[in-house]
Amino acid sequence: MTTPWRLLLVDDEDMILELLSLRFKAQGYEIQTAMDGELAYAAAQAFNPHAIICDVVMPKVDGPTFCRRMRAEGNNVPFLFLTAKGQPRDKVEVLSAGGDDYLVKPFDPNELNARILAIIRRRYPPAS
Amino acid sequence: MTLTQAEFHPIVELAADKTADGFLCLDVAGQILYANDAAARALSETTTTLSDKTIFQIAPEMNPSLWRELWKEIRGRSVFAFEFAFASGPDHPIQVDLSVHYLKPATRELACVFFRDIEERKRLQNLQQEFVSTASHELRTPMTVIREGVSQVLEGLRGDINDSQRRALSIALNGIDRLGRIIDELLDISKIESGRLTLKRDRIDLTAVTREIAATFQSLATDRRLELRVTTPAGPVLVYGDRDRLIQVMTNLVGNSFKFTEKGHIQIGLERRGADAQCSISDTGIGFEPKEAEKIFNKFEQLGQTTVTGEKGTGLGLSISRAIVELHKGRIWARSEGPGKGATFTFALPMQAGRDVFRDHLAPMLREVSRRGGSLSTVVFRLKQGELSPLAGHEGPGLLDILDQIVRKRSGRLTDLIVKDQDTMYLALQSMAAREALRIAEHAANEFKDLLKSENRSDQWRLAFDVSGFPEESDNEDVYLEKLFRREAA
Repeated sequence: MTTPWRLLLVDDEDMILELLSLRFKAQGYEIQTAMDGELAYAAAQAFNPHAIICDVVMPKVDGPTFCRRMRAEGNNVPFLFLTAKGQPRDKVEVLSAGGDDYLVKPFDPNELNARILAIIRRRYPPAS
Repeated sequence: MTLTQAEFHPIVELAADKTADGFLCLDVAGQILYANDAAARALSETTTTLSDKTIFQIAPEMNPSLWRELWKEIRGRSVFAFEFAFASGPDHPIQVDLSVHYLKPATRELACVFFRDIEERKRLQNLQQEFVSTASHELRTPMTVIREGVSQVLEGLRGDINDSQRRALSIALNGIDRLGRIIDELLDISKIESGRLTLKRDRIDLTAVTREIAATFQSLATDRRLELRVTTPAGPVLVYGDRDRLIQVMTNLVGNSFKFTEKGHIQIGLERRGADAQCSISDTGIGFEPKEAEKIFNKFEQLGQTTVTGEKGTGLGLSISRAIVELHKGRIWARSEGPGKGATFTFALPMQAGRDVFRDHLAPMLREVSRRGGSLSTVVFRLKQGELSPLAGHEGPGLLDILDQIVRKRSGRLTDLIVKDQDTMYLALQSMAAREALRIAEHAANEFKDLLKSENRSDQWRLAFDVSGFPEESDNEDVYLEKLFRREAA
């Protein structure tokens, strides 16, 4: 891989965006951020990310709606949701909206790393 | 010190007038003799207008024959409680929890009625539930920020730190994680206390679950130089339960043993005992005073013991475990010979047969159909072992899982009731006539047989099924159930 993985981070909390940006930049990812589902949709068009980490509850357009819109357009970019709820119903909601995986806040950073790598690897298998 | 008779009477009067519950006193004819403030408020009356009325004017559901029945009940049992409806003004019924007490202070018989608006109670419960759920949701975002910030400094992502700083941040991180667990457990407790913890029950093999739990804890045992022993029966031990919740119970109990055991061993044992599956977790840890055995299941009870690892618990785990086990109609208890002598925690779950579980679920569905109209069909699939396969017996549950998937695909619905046993699968199809159910069952059975044939196993297993429809077959729920299970026994 000569170009780094492009990762889109979507959360309405700027503190979370700042912290996650630093974490993933330190690991060589190229990062863009968006603070709601509408901005995220625009960013996804321009940035064409390899994966998206997305909050569930956001103003204007929420995470599942953003994901459904991408899926409806045939975009299969891997989606990992960060949910603050963690109730079984919420997990079902994000997965049925087209999400590939989810983590409950507060998450363990090592687990987030591992899961993001896993969904990227599944979507873009290394050429053999 | 006691109150004098002269003091007591006005106090009782005050209590009756001002208590938050509605309170009515009636005679045998149904005439209201006394009503307190809360009763008047709930029924949109005043205490004076109420005492001119009879029970029949304030309770649309009450009639003279029901009233006579009620008197018979309370004379016999002295107290009687049920849900009831009162009229609060015209066309405004209110649902109440009500208890009637029988009193005969002098010559006259009295019915003393206490009641409480159910909707009010439900509203308060909702409010409490919502509060806990919102609070825990709102707490998670700032916790995420704190956790991630601390982690990044700790990992060196923000530059070098020294050992003392690293130590402080590790402690902070542990505290944050503990806070997260407390929030999860408070949510569980809140659900349990409001009766909203519902189980997603299915057939589970406790042998497999026990081994899984042991495997999860193995590396911790190695790190801590503790011996982890596991004993289970060779074959599956099937119970109807919520897999995730039972794993939560076992993880909690085994986790506790690790917290309180410094050296020696931790043993996880599973056995069949009578009609129960019994799981025990024993250790050679710090134990407790035998008289504390009940107390440790109380909320926030920690007996003031410090853990071996310095790790702090929330004091909620055992009370959640007890609630989960009791929701499964099981029991949980703790034993210790004394401090320093280890502890054993045991829970027992009934190994309910699939047909009993099916019956429990089906009965209310049938009642609903008789009340609302419509139809319901049941299918009982039975796997029979062929004579050529003496060794294939343990495959039954796995094959039924495949059949389950085929049926769900065929019916195209996920909401049907499916209960599986060792070799029998019960299926209830709502809003479906027997003819349609028969078609689905036939197709599913054929697909299943084709599958066996493609694996050259047609000789090993035979599949039979039986379809019946409600209300075509019998429009009485009890008769229908009787017939269904008698046919099965035959």
